[in-house]
Amino acid sequence: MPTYRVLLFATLRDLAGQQEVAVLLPQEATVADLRRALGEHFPVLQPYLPTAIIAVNHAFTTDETPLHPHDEIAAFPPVSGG
Amino acid sequence: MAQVTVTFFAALRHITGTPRITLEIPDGTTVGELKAMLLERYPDLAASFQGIVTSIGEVTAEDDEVVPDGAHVALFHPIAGGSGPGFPTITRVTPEALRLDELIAAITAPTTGAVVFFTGVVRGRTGKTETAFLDYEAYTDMAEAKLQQVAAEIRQRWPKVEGIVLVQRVGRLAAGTPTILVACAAPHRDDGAFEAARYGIDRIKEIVPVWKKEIGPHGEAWVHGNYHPTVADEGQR
Repeated sequence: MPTYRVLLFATLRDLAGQQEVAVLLPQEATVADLRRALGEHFPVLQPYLPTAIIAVNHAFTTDETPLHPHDEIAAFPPVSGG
Repeated sequence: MAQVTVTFFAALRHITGTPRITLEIPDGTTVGELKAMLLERYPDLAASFQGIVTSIGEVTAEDDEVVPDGAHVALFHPIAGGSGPGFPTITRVTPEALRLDELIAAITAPTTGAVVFFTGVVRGRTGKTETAFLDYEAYTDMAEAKLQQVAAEIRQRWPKVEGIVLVQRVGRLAAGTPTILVACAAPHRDDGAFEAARYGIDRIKEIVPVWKKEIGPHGEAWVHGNYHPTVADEGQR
């Protein structure tokens, strides 16, 4: 199974204790698969994953968006800049 | 001798260190000769002279035109480091202090008559809650791409808007410190500049990946937004 590297920010990074995590996913995985796998690997993130935003190559996604191992994938809470 | 004033815009103003000078020049001096005199006086301008536009009054002037006595000459770049249609777009995520007046000067074109700007500030007290600092964090590469997107959305909606600044500061910022600058220039105040600046800050708070953590006397807590972007938030809406 391919490995996907995922950047974490803000609350998610603090809770996981890592800026970047590696997640194993099957071929032709989607954002929904990643959300599920992150919760399994890092149960501490579970409460935040339903509202977490998953960006792929700096773009917003849907649960159906496909993932590729070379994508730049990031997971973060709703933004609060300004 | 003829007396002329020369006004420098945007980046040129930073090089000369002054927005405007008054010069005595021989009668019959051409625009090209005036530019040579300015280069002698401000050698650092040389690197910025490529593509520069000169105007006398409100009309673009060619190098062989004679500069009349009393002329108001302006030097500017039609495209100053931006992606906009001829006007600067400054988008940045930076740990450095925001220099509000410099950023506003940098988007002031010869045709600009109004600049509306918004700056957010770290609020030290909210009700009974004290905030000493806000720690700002960004997903910098994506944030800069999204700031560009917000600028493009502004241009699409308010075509009369000229220069745009969207700069977010990050790092540990104490109460009272400016955190962001959103500025929109336009020929007149009724050309959409107020609405555009309002849209800019609101849109940044929706789609630009920046987060803040409140640091107070009783601990720290991440501030969470409440907007959930979808694929419909990609590109221009």
